[in-house]
Amino acid sequence: MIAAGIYGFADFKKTNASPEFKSLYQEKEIFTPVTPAETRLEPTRDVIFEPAREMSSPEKSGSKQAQTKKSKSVKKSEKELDPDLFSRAPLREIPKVAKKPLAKSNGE
Amino acid sequence: MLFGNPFYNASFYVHIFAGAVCILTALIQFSRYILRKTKSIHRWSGKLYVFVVLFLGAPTGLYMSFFAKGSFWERCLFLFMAITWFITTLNGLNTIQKKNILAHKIWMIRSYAMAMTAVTFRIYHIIFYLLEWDHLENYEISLWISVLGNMLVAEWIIHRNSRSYLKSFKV
Repeated sequence: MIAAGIYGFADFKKTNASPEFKSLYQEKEIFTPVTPAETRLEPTRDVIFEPAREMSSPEKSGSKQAQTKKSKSVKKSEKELDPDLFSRAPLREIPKVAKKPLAKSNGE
Repeated sequence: MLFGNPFYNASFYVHIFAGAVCILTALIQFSRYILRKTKSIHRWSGKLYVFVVLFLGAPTGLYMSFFAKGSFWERCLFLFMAITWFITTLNGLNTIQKKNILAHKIWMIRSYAMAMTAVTFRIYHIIFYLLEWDHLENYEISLWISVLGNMLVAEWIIHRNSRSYLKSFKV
């Protein structure tokens, strides 16, 4: 036991001087690649997962008059909603050249 | 680098072998059933345990403690472990030669507590690894807890046994 202690101490003194022993237990930092936030696949606010609505068939929905009323109301609502007015984006400048022929065609 | 040294290399494998033998033989030693049935098994496995600790396990542990991982204090702890393991086992041998069974039991419990630090250290190390502790921090803390914890558990077992032993004298 004493011999092991003396030999160990002497051996340690010898090896302690070498730079290899000093760097033996030094831990190297491992750099893990970090994926940028843009590429991460996360559910965004815009994406809404909703179950598909069941479309009512014309046979089940009742009379034809009711169907026409519904279609009219839908058409009205489509006319009322203008996406340019309700959008928060800067208003687009609609080229006048494109609008004029449309107005003429409506008049005719 | 260390394994390039043939003496370190040899002492490393001898220490592992000695540790395995000590843990296995000690399982036989603490069995009351074997002790009651045949004392010769206890004696032979005890002799093997003492020989392995005094001539193989403790000296190689002492030699390797100088090169142990960690700071100066961790090396001191390994040094302390090797010396304590040796002294407790030697005391266990001396007491049984003097037919002092109670003292022999106490010293062998202390010796086995030192031998079992190899096992408890790894248990703590795995637990702290699962808790995602830093590697070096995990190593150092689990080392200190295993040594001090085993010593405390050993002293608690001795205290509990001695209390029941002293009670047996009451009329």
